[in-house]
Amino acid sequence: MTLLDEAAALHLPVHEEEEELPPGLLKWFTSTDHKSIGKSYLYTSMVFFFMAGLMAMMIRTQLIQPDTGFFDQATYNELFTMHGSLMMYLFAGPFAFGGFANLIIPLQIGAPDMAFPRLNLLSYWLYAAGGVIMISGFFVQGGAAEFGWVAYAPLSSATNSPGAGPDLWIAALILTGFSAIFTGVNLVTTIFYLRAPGMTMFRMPIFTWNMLVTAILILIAFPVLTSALVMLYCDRHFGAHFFTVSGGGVPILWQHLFWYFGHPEVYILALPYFGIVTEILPVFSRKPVFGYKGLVFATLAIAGLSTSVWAHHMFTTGVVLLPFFSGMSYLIAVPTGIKFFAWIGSMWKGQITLETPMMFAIGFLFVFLLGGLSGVLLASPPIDFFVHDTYYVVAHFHEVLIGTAVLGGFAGYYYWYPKFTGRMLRSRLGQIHCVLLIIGFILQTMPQYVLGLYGMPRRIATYTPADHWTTLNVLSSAGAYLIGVSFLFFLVNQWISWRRPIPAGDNPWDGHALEWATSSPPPHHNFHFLPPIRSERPTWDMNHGEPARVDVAGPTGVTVR
Amino acid sequence: MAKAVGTSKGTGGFRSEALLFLGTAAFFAIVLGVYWFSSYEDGGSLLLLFTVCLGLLPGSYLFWWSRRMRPRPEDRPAATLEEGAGTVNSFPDRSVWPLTVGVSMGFVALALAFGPWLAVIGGVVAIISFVGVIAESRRGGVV
Amino acid sequence: MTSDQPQPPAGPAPTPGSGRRARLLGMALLALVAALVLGGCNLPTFGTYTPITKQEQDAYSLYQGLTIAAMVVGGIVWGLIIWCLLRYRRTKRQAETGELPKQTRYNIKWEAVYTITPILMVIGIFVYTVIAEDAADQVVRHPNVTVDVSAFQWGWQFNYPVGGGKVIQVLPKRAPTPSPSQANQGEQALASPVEYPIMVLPVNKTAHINLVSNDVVHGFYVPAFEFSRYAQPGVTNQFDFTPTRTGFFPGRCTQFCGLYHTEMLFWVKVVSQSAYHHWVASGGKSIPTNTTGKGLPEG
Repeated sequence: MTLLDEAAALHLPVHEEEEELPPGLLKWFTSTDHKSIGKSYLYTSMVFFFMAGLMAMMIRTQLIQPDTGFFDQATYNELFTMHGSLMMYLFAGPFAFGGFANLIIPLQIGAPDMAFPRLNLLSYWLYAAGGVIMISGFFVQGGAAEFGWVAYAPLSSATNSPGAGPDLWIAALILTGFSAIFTGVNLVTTIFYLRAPGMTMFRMPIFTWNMLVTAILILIAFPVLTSALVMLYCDRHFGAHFFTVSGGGVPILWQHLFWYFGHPEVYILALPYFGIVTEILPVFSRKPVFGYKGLVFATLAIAGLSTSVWAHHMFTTGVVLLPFFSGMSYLIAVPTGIKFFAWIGSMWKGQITLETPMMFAIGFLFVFLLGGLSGVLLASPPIDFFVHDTYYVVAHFHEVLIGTAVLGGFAGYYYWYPKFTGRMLRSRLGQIHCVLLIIGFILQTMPQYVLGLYGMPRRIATYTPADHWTTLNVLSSAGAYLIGVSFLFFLVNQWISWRRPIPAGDNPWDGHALEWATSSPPPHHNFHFLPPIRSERPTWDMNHGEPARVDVAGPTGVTVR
Repeated sequence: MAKAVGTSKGTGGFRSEALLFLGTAAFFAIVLGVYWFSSYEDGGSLLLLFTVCLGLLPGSYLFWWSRRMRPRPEDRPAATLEEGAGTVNSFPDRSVWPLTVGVSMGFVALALAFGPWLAVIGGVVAIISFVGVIAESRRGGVV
Repeated sequence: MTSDQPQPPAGPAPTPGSGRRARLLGMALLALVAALVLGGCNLPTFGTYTPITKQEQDAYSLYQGLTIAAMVVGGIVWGLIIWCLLRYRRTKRQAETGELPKQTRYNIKWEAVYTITPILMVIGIFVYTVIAEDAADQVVRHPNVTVDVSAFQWGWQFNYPVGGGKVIQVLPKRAPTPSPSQANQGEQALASPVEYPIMVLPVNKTAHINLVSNDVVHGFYVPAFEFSRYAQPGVTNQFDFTPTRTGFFPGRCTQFCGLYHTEMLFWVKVVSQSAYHHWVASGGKSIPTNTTGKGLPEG
């Protein structure tokens, strides 16, 4: 029997209880289907992305010329605090581990849903509630939180940051923190317990591996943040002295706690998008992923090292062990390099086609490389001494974050949109979106490296003509506006796809992993039939498999040919 | 049962999963050792110690089971799909309680900024919701 | 590899010695970086300032070396990606026939190369980093000048204990610390002119700085000295400056500290040793210690 015959003959017994779900809003509020929850996360986080993007453009408008005075200092401080907070807490993370993970993981491992569907929906509602509460800071007296997305003590104490805005910020983060922790638990349990037969750990797609490691990092990091926030709240309102010197506290403790969360957090943000890119590059090169086991071990190494380097954000405090953190930070470059070369190896001698997801993935490679290299420089304390808290750091982290969350995230969105909606996005508009975004981003970021080296600190509301930073700031602001324009193309693309859909079919990209073996969108409980799982790309094997590669299971065991 | 050629190393199910968590614990134990003896810094060392414990907790549970169970279909590369047939789990399709718990927790969170009276509202709704969730679980479907 | 990796071998047959050649290449790169860093030959500044203090020399060389190494690595990786995009595009013929490329899954030699080479480079960079870091952090036993710097919301104070119980104080004039009602008005509170403090230092002498904060965390940053350090409450940070030429250099606050963080400017004026002695003898009067100026370093 050929492989295709074998596959067609197998049917999973499907629990054919097709419930009459109430349509529309009520269905969305109460559906525990991972696909519905995943879509909710994707679109909610995109709303926060656009809000924070508008704030970014307001910031860049303030800085386009010296002494513009568009915003007073207090409002400007709120703007960059909320821009950072929305992007880091409400967009980049939830887009990945709430949106894509929920949508795709059960499909990729052959599961009917996530392990805890109601907990999954609870995660989403906690996230939504937290997001609304954080935004509501703008509407209270005193305005939103103003202490940066890192809320260093003693600046975040009740005397230095009074009012309801900071308390709402803390409250929102406690909610989203629990949301993330529950998602982490759900992801680990799903991946451990709900894989389809034959889907061993080392046959899971790399995206699933990256999400598993991300989930473990979430479990390591987010409780630390939540605890630190509770401690901060006690300092602010219950007379505790965790972080205030006068009461015998230690302000730098906040930095240790925050960055023990904060550094794994940025890898929580990055690893899912690494996984997305690892899915896309092989598909559009028509080859398998290169160096699978190396990629898995690199991901594990990155996760472990990322938790061990927190104080590289504190080099200039003067009280941390510089060689340890510097050495560990340099070491992260090694597994990241392994990943990079594995990505190149996946493309090497392939047959590359530049559809929109592939363009975004290649853009990620270019941009993230620059950000990673500047990260290596930042890992050196003597260099960090003169670029810390300047626009050099701002350029570095925007490069890595936009490279991963925006370029990698939208790569995943264009790639999987056909799967979860059954429609295609227009490729021409997508390609324009990609090109404008990358050009705008390079234009925005490269001048910021130079600005930082010239000594422009971050989080300043204005500067003077005598600083001679004006030209670079104009370039940077122009780039920011171009990024905004690129997203107009995205929105138009979405609109057209909604009004005049093109049906996608099961597998428009000739994808490799299991999600492409089912219909678009997938049916209730995901699979009416599963192909046999004999490698890390079961759908490819089903469509292209040479019979010589198939395992034949006999009564006495397996013959591998 | 005949041991198939090319199965995952070792005998029991959950072996890779257990080693993943135990490996995490081992890695952080090494990092903790290096960090503590070179810096004697309390805060970071305690955090690393708790990370070790985080790896040990599920890791030791899974490892204990791994030595006492046979590989599951998803642990064996040669498994066929019939082996995984049957009911996988119970997946409640629709539930209003996550929404109510989420909203009630939102109220509790707002209480952090605006006063304890909001927490009272949130707490009451939360208690009703938890009762609802448990009842729903017992009935195995939509309440 | 387990049963997931069947025969035939899925990688291109490695040419003999290719792994070793690649390792030699890595060593060569490392040596290049080493030569540049140690030599510090006339390289471009890559956007930053040429060193002014003795403590920053090694950091500056390290920065140049790492930037060059980053450019080389970046060039190689970008080059590989661009090569793939140019050389390995799917042709029309391939699309029509549906022929597939070789389904390579792994190549142990190359994977070893791209694992080991970065490790070697990282070790090399780490060694130079520790050297430069010790130089930047080094404090001498007997500095020539001591300055106690206190940071506060939102200005800097410099106290020079000059012996005999005397202390020269340099304060900002009319620092922007408005009353709460003024703070609500935002920009209006800054209508009054502000004068920023100037730290006077003698050239070619070691000045020891004791840095502390009176309230929140601030960042003491002199871009031209390529150095910054946090001012924290309850912790005094200590470091040295040994400027090797005179000039007038701006300083800024780098760690966000609240409403008027932008306004926390200061200056460092490095003068000749005789001018400095005269300044001390005059009780801090012979050289103005406040300025309204903002902007670029001079000199």
